[in-house]
Amino acid sequence: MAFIKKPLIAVTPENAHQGYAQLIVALAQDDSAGRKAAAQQLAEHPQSAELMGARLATEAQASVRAAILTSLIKMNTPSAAGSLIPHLRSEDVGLRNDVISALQQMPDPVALFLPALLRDDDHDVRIFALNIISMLRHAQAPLWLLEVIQTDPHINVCTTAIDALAEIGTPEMVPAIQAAAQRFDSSYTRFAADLAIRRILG
Amino acid sequence: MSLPEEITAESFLRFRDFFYHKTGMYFDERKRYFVDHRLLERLKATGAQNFNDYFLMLRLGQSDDELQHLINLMTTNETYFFREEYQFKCLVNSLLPEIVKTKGKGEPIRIWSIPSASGEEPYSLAIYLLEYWAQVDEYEIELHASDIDTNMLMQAQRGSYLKRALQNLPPHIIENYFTQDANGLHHISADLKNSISFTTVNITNPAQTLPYQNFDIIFCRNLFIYFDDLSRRMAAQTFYDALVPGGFICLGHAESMSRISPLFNPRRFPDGIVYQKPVD
Repeated sequence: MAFIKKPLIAVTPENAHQGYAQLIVALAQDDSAGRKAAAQQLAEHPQSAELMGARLATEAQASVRAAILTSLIKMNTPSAAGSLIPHLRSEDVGLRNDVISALQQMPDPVALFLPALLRDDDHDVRIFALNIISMLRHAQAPLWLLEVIQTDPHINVCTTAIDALAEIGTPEMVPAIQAAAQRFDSSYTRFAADLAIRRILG
Repeated sequence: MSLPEEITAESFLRFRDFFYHKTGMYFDERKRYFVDHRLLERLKATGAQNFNDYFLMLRLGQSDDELQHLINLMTTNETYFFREEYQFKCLVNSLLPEIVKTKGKGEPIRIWSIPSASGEEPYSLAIYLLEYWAQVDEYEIELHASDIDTNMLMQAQRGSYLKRALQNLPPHIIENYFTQDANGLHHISADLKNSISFTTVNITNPAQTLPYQNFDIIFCRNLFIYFDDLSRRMAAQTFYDALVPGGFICLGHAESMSRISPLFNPRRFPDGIVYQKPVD
């Protein structure tokens, strides 16, 4: 028979038994396995959130980046969410998408930052904020979207919000969606509005 | 309280898009009755007045509990030998030929089946390799099977099955690898039982998963759909660490790694899509 049975070999974790200060040093070392192990263990040290978030800007290894993001999600604190917000302005699309996905998993902490993000001068940042809301488990989500379609001057921002309302809008919001569609008078927005209204009214 | 009368076509679409995004399970029009029936069941159970109220609770509520109720209702927990056989075909027709390109004769090939549940998947892997991979005797194959549930592991190690679990197996395979007792139970051969290492592991506990390294292939089918987002993310990292560069992970037909983690590259083979850890 071609099969052989071999026991698994016990492995000592990288950076085992290291303290906070040593883990922070390890997070910046050349060895990517050590950086990843440090990132995983720093999940138990919420005070590392700001440093961990900042590290994302220079971390080139996808697996280390994923470990940092997972640890920040585990922390689920305002500081952890806040450390990710600056990366919404990153030119690195992969990092930005990873950050949006991570923030979607931190509903309460990210809620503290969303009102400001939705008023950001950069309409791209406002759209990224809507991308976060579009998959966020938060009771306030439909109301944030409603405010956007009533007040935001940018067609792409409003239409993104209308798209999201197709999933979580309520019948009371239909007049506001119709008004937004009229305000921009574009086939693109009208299409999104018609779909959203159909979905909401069933 | 009266029962909400129906799920409209638009409500069905609204639910379908959300459910697909969360779980990867997609229901077309032919499944309308199946889905509607289960949704109405949950509307009634939760006391929701109408679909909108129920859907917003499902979508915006703080916990995943209701989503989990629905997943349990929409999935089949039944497992059997050669389930989703296309992936076993993919294994012998595409994955192993690619893996052995980098291995010398006699080198080990390591495969991990998780969750092993009651053993149908790891035994199916062993049987499929023996029956359908011509090079099976040229390599040392390590088959590891793990589950978090020790009762399931005991059942797997016992290797006794009702006829129903064997429904997809050709008669010659049943004859070669099973013996039937007077009660109608089918017992897997001792050789096969002895060819698999069974272990208990919690996939989201890094301390427990550390020894699971250098695997060429992982079968992890229909597990992610039962996990919340954070657990999925942690499990994906575990699998990344457990695979050799270029190693493959096979998920259930409704599951997509792309929705969980950017760490893997999807690969399309003639028999199916699997995910690969990048080589560098």
